[in-house]
Amino acid sequence: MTALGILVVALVAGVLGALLGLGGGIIVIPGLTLALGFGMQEAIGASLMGVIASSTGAAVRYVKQGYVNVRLGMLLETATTTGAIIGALVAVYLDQDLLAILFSIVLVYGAYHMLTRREKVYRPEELEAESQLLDLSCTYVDQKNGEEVCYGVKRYRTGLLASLGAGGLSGLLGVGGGVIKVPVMNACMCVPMKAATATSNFMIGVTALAGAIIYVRYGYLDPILAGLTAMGVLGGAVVGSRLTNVADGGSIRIMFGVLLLAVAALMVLKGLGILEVV
Amino acid sequence: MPSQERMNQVVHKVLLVGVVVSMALIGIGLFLTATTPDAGQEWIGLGSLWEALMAFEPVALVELGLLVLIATPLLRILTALVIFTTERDYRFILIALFVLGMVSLAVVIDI
Repeated sequence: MTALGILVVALVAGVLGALLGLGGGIIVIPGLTLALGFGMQEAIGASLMGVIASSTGAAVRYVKQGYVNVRLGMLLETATTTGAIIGALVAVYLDQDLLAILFSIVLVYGAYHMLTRREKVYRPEELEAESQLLDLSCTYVDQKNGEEVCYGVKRYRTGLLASLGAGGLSGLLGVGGGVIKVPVMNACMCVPMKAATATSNFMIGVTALAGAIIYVRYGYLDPILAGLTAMGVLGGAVVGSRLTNVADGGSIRIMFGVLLLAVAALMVLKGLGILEVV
Repeated sequence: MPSQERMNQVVHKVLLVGVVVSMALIGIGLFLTATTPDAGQEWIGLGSLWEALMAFEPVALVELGLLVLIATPLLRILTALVIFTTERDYRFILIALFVLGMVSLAVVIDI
């Protein structure tokens, strides 16, 4: 029952992704390749569809709550889509084993991010907009305490560069790239964490779309695999987002960070041909 | 800012409809694929997708759902473009057109 296996992998990815603020690609790809024996390119194509589904689903909620900075998102999308096309075109020509090894680097970075993540909190006077070419300032109401937060965006050139990298990663390896964009938006561009997470999720749909089109055209999208992945990840994300208040964030993050390191080691062994998978 | 609110409302509706429609199509398609004996499971080229849909091939329904899913973020850019145009926000019109251009490039690029 491969179909059941795919659905389980996608559901787990969706639940954990929502709990930890990830798109889920970082879980879908090792699940499909290591546990179920799919090829890297097929897994990446399916993962991109899952990532589009879960990020669009999350964006529906975030846009309604007003956390998404649509203008900032669209500006950074110019860079993420460019990166995604380059990444996807490189991936369709790369060797599977090399892709697996590259993916393990992302897993290690993801683990580091899980184990150390710091949120930068700004005082109101730090959030004032600098006068610049584009007005990206935005306002939202924090649902937790009802306070209105108004912030101006700084250093958008750094943000564009980071987005190019995040997009490249998305196209090359089928992840959303939130692990790069969210910290950069928060730490460099002075965007509050909630807005950074929401805007990153909002952007992933368009980014993954640019990559997914390339995978479709080069014949790496299996409709059944992609359909099951998209449904599973979105279903899991809906459940996971309801659990965020129940589960203790800190301990999940640490367990997950350690798990990612273990999976990274398995992906390297697979890439080097030492580990035989099903 | 009223413009920000209007943008949020419209974009929210576009994304919600896209997700619901695509998931319904994929779900029905997968169910039919599983319950129909010897249903095809291969990707159908976009050229013959319409014929396959008319012939009620389950996998064509899954594919249509995936295409709606892909089209949802695209439709969201078009929506934003229309709003930027009505607000005569020229810099952001250019930005939206650039993103659309990159997506079109993904459709045609060949190396």
